[in-house]
Amino acid sequence: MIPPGIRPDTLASELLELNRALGAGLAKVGQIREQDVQLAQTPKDLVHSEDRMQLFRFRPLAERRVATPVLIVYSLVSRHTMTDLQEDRSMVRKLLAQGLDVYLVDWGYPMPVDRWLTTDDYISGYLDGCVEHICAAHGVDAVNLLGICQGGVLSLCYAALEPRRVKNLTLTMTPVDFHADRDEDNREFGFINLWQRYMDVDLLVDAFGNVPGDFMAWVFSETRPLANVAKYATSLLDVIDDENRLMYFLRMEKWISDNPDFAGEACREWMKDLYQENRLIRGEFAPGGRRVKLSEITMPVLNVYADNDHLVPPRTTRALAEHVGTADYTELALPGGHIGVYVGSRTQNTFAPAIADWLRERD
Amino acid sequence: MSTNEDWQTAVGRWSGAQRELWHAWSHLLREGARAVAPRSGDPTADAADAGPDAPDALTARMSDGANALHALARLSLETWRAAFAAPGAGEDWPERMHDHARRWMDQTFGAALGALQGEIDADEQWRRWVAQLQGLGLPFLGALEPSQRAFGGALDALGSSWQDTLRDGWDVMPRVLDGLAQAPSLGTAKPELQRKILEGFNAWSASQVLNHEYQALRAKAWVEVVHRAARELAERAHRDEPVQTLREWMMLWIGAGDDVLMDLYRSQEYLRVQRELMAQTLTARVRLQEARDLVLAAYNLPTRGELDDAYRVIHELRREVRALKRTVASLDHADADGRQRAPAKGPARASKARRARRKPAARGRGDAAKRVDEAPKN
Repeated sequence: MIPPGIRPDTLASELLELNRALGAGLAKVGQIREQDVQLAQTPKDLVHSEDRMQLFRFRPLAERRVATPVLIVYSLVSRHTMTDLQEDRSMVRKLLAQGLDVYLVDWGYPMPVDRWLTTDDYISGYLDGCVEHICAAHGVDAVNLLGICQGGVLSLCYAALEPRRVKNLTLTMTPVDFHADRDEDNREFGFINLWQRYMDVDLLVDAFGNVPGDFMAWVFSETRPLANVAKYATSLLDVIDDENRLMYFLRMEKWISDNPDFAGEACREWMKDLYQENRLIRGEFAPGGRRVKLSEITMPVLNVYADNDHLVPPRTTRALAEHVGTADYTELALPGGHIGVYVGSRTQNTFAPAIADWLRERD
Repeated sequence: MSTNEDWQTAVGRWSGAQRELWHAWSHLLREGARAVAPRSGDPTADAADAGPDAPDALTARMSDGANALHALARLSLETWRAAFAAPGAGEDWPERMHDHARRWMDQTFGAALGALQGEIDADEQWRRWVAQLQGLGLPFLGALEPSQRAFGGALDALGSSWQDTLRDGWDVMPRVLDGLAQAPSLGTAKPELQRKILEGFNAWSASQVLNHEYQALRAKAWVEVVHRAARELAERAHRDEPVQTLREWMMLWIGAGDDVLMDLYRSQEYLRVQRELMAQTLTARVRLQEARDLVLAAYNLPTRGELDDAYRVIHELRREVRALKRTVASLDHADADGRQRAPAKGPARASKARRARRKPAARGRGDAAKRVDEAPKN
């Protein structure tokens, strides 16, 4: 074992720089209050609600160029605020700038009373109510659905069960074949799939009712255990004396720690039917007794995935191609990881515009 | 007597004392188990039969654990011996270490002072400093590497010994409690409550054994992290690409740690232990909840189970309402379609007015559904 060849002058200059950054950063951090770290600030109006679910409509930022409204369906286990993190890193703002009329479902935070909510309650209940509301408000028969991750699965199911209500289906980072991670070469990919296959889900739900958001957050953090802790000694110190980058870091931290509980029965179905038994791709997933046939998805489909997504590996997403009933199927690969695609600087000018262009061609 | 011998004697005595302690403890436990064991012919007689032997086995395992610790301490001493030469020549190692440190201080800081005084340029000083550091560090680090392996092995032996101990030893306690739980109930005693508590305790004690196994796996992984980081450092040095900054050094450790932990997390052994640990912990939680419900029910207070049932009924009713509203809406549409196919002046207008009245009800789903604001039509 050879000791590191760190020169004393290099070490001293590193420590000096660290000290300087810490000093400047601490002065800045001391002036920041929790209320300064705001997410999802793009103006929007509450237009419909049911129980804890709320439907928002964003105020336009540009002249309308796509007539059919877009409904963003986010995941149940984290918060939609990631889609509108801050002004210069906002998928929502980019879509609005492209002339889209954007709605968004906020699922809220499940309480103990919600432990019996099933996947069907979300799909045939809340989501259907949102679509109905938008269709009635615009005088249209169908909307454009834009599903994100788990919200993509909900959108996919809804599109298969109610194809007349969906004009175009856009899926982003959406798992479809939950066992395709076994074919991934990169061992960082599919860790969540593997762990969920080994969980006693019935016991988990019976013990907790709603599965705590903190538990889900712990599972996610274990995908890169050291890096997720060491970031406070690396990434944070890199940005601590730069106000813009520091605020971005703090917003991401706020989003990461904002984990709603997962409604018990919906969680049971999600983990057992999908992660463990892979029923969706086999055509056996039947929320509320209605079987989801992917071949019933006959509207145009845009399937977006991230080439370095360790949470939803590309293979689990791309498997959809062989099962949908539409001839108008498009895949879009973006550089980055599961979250980086939405908030990273590399994709800010490509991701949302590509979706808008695709929708415009099919409006 | 040298310090080495002092240490070895102390560790040996400590191991012996531990062995005696466990023997005394097992004797006490055996007597306790006999006192409460059911009579022969009882279905739980197996527990009583196993009782007399189990504490002896337990004692043996506890002794194994103490021996493993002894071995670990001995290995640590060996490491220090290897790091600082010639302990067998009669020199006491603390004195040797003191001398070693003094020489290091003299050479390092003495030369540095020389450099400051302009006698040696900075590059030459740096070269000497690195050479000196390597000269001093290599024997120690070289000795450390086999000791890490030995440490991992000792840790493994210690861990498995403890796991066996916990498995055997903690099994006695539930047996004792089980004997009590099977005893005739007295007056207002609640056997159901006792059973729930006992099951909860059993699950909890099983979780403690598994938790130890879980922690042992993680501890072994951390030993491997040290190995891997050391190997990476050595490989980089041999490639003439040594780690040159603190940041690089830290990233190397993070990379090694994440690699090793990822291997661990994907291993069948870890997945099994994690699953079983989680299952036992959750079972303990469920049984505790059930016991709590029994107590609350005794005081005529609402229980978690009752609330859950009420919530379930509410959800089922809401689903029924939703399905009925769908049916009504589809009948309404069918009615409207039928009237459109056979238009009649008066009734058509009446039907349209009725549809307009019905429309909001058909659109809303459930009493909780409400339209907060009508979005403008476009």
